[in-house]
Amino acid sequence: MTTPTKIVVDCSTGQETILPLTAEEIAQREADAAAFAEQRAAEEAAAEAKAALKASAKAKLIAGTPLTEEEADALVL
Amino acid sequence: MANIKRANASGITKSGTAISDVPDAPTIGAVSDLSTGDTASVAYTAATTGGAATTFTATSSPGGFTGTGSSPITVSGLSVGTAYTFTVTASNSTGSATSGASSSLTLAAVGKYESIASTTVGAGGSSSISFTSIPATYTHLQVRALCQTNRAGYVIDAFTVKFNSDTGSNYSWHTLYGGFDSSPSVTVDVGTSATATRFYWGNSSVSANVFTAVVMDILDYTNTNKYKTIRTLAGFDVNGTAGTGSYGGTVCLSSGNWRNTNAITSIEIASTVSANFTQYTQFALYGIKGS
Repeated sequence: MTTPTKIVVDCSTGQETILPLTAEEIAQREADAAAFAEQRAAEEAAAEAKAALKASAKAKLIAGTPLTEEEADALVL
Repeated sequence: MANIKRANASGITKSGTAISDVPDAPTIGAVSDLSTGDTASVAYTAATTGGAATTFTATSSPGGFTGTGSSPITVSGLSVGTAYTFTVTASNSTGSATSGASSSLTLAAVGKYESIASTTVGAGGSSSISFTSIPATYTHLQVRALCQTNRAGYVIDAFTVKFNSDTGSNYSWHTLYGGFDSSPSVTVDVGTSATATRFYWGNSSVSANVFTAVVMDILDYTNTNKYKTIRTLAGFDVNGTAGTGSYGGTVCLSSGNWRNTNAITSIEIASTVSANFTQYTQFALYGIKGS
């Protein structure tokens, strides 16, 4: 596998350097990616749960049955 | 006025009143743009010989705009785009003497974007772009990018931004981004105490190598009395075949914060999901003068 690289531009000289990432930088990059994926998964799960509550609330409103507090929150918050 | 020269250390006495010696000419120093669009700073060194000057006056050429005071003198009333030179005149009640002309100075327009540096990614791709040794001579910075990554088949992607190589948990962001899935949606995302500030370029269930456009402002970046604010507008082209809908490109508005009072001297931008910026991705850094 090719080692990832980074581009560093020195604004005082205009010099551009391409450097391989260090082992520490690669580890940090992978950790950041994992944390990001975890956060996104949590957000998507929350969005799906809210969508389900809204669907349930809509069905109950049409049927004229009482909503749970969670279902009401999904409609108004 | 006649040039009255020193007769003794006290000057010439006329009817019992000491007459000051004429000052010798000051030495002109550096001139600089004060970044207001109409003022310049003119430095000088007073002569250590001759009579004591009571007034130092800087005068522009052309225009004859003047300012008085001790070094450096501020001269107002100048115009953007005109090449000026300046002289400084030392004077007292007896006479005056004028320095030679300064180097030429042309004021820059306030708010003008000046290119600092730019880079284009080569065939091998790159995981991040860094600008280092950023000059402190501007008020604000702006990063503009037109980029692609090799990330595909993922529903979201984002950039991270770090300053001065700070990997501590000193960053936050709040973001509003619009997607284009089966129904158009708007999502709010907030992060605190993170190791980088972040902004999204939008939902992407399309192939890799879509074009993303980014404009990021970094405000008051040299102010050492405040944390730093970053605001970003980003979005990408969906190449006309996006996901399950046809709602056009995505857009993201984001504001981030770096909780540090140091002046920003370097910026690192990377993709959050271990993607590489691909060939022809371009990043450019601009400086903006004026308050």
